Amino acid sequence: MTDGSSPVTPPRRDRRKWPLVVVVLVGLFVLVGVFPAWGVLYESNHGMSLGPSFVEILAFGAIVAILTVLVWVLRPTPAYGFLKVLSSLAKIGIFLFLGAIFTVSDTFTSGDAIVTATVGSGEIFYLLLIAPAVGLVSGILFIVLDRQFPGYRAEKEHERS
Amino acid sequence: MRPQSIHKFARVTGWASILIGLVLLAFVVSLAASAAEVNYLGTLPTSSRTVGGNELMIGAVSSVSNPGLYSLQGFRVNLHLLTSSGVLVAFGSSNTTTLPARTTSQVPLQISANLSSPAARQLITTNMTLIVNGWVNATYAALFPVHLFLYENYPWGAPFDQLNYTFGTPTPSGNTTENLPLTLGFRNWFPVPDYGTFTFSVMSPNGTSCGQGKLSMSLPVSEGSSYEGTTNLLVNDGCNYHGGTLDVHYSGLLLSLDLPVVTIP
Repeated sequence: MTDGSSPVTPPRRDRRKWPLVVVVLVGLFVLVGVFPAWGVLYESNHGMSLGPSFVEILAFGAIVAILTVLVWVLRPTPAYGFLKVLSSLAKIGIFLFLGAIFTVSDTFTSGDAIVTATVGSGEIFYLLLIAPAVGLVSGILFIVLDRQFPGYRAEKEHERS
Repeated sequence: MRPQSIHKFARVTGWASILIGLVLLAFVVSLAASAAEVNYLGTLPTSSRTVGGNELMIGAVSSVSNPGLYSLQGFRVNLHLLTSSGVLVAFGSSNTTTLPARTTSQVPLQISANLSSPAARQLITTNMTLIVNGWVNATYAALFPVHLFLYENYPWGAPFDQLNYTFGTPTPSGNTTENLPLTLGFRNWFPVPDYGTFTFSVMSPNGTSCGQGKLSMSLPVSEGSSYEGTTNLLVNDGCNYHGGTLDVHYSGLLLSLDLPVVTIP
């Protein structure tokens, strides 16, 4: 049992984990930051407007990647629940922001006609809100667990690993 | 609540959030891939043309290819036809319909012009370049509102283009009437053949009827063909029609309308 404020995983194991953490962080950043930002840049270079800027997408990707990795790394600590809540709230905030401004707008020719198309794609982010909303519930439950039964989770998860 | 239950529920919701995120991500990727394949192929007028009373009806078809996985719901096309100076001459829309996934759909629409407006009446006798403004509204995959705005120039071919009348020298016909030769010429640019009769009424300057005449004709099938026909209008002796008017009505299988009034020299 711990006092609820210190990590339960042995330090040696943590040290071995760091290269993997860096790889996961970079990989996640590429997946949720670099690729989408490149997509925005590519589409805007081809005359399509999407709403958020390249920099905004890159920044959101960095926030999501860092928080996700922090949640994973600090899972054995009592900060886990709070970080999970923070990560979920950040994702909810980002999705709400993108939902409000994301619109696919493009002008192209079809036969002799000039066509301007606008697709209200913001709803896609409102749909994605379901995932962090469920994650938020999970984070709150972990906070409650760690507050009411300090050390219980650490013991159980240490047993499992 | 027991710690085991809280722990279990917290873990389950944690995994559920990841699973839901992955499923939604897969859905979003398939949605984006499907949406990228939707292609608005344009709106083309069909050969359908009818004129009845004061209304000219023009048929058109909008084509949309939707090879993706999701349907386009609430699809509706609205079109405005304007003259080059921006005067609205005709408008129309399609019914609201659903375009199923993996299909190419043809959505018919009817465009109507009210011929009581002077600008719209020009459609009958004058070829011109019309401006087509269109709006398409739909919802993709029941989630995403889609709006298209179309701008296009459309060459309009009139059924009685370059309509002209030539009056000949009147000759006596009986004791109380005379024949007034009238030659009618025009080019037909409508893409449909028609058969009908021109009815002429000769009016004096003070509005009394002086005589009448008819001319039956077959409108050529090929677009832009010219037509010329001559008839004799039977007018009453002593009725002064010089400076009066010639009222012309055409009644055919497809078209039935009053043509512009002509002043008799």
